[in-house]
Amino acid sequence: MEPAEFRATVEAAQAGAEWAWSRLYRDLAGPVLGYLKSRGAVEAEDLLGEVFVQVARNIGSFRGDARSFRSWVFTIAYHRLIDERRYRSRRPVEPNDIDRGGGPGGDVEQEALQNLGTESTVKLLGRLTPGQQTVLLLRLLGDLTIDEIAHTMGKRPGAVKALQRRGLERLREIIETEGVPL
Amino acid sequence: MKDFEPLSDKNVEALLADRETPGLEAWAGVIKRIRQEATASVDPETAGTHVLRAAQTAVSLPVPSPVPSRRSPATWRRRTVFAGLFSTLIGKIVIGTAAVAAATAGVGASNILPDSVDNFIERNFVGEDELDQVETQIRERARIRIELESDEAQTQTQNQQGQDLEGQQNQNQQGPDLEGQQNQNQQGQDLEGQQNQNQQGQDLEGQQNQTQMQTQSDEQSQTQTQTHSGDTNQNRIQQGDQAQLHQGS
Repeated sequence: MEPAEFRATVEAAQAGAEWAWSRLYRDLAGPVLGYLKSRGAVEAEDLLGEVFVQVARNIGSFRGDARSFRSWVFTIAYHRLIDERRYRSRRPVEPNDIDRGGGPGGDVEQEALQNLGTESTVKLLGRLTPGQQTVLLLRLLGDLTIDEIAHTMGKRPGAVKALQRRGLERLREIIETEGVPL
Repeated sequence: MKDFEPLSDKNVEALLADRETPGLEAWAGVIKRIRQEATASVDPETAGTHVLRAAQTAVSLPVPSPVPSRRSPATWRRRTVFAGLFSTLIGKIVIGTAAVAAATAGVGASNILPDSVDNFIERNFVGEDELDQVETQIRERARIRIELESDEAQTQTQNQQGQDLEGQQNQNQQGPDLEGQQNQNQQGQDLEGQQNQNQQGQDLEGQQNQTQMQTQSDEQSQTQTQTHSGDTNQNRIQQGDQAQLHQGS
């Protein structure tokens, strides 16, 4: 989106224009949903809706360009995911969860990866540590910088850089040793 | 496979920014595929619901901002929607009105306005129609807020009346209960008093009987004593007589 066009869209969204929200949603919903699913969100679509409600609540005070808006939305998604995990960790295991193979939080991420189908590269991400997955997904899908991710995750920039480096190194090892088709 | 060379930080930044990276085409391909495959599709009906909810939330009344977490003290999370709303809309109306007045008076045309105001107008003022629309929205929101405040006040009044009524009912209930209690106490006292009287009556009667019996007993004793005394005196007289008889011989 062009800067002027983005500015007009945000202003219209602040005033509640449905067309503006439809546009913003179209640009970001797919990557945000992909991030949530890749990170093991149980009800990813509901969570996506909550992310956009949160964006709507605070859009009145947003100032920035399209890139910073995208980063902001992914930051909200990151925190909502953590909230959902905390909520789930307090709930008892339901029979449906056991039937689907998702125990008390243990295989949820694997299940999320299975739900994504046969996307081989995304399955590769499932073999990284949670921290490496988060950093790479926020960088690849959310376009967040190292400093933004550090601020969001509450880590030092050096630590985030290390997670990124090790994550990419691990991907390289898997691709080279197992010959994953690209 | 030797296509995947170890990446430096600089190369990573270039790849993520979709910049040209000679010799790293394999990496570029992986990153591109991750981005494509990780992007999920949303059900159209769900998407429509989300959009509608977001649009409605954006124009709903301001809600208090959540307590900022320690992890993310970003400035935008601290600001309230209310403050943001007013800073955007009221600011537009004020500046917009001033700009229209200034333009009419020719002040704006002659570039007398300060640069900062000019910049703000250029950045934010989009036209009179837009201004009217914004003004209408503000009036509507104010009306909704007044209605909500009125409803809230009415609810509070009803609650207070309900509490008063409940308090009154409790007192009324306590009244009969208390009255009933008093009656019972009185009956109990009466009964007790009656029992005491009966007992006293019995005691008195018993005592009278005892007194009567004692009196009878005393009378009998007195009679016996008199009899005995009379006998004794008679004996003395007889002894006296005999003594005189002896002296006379």
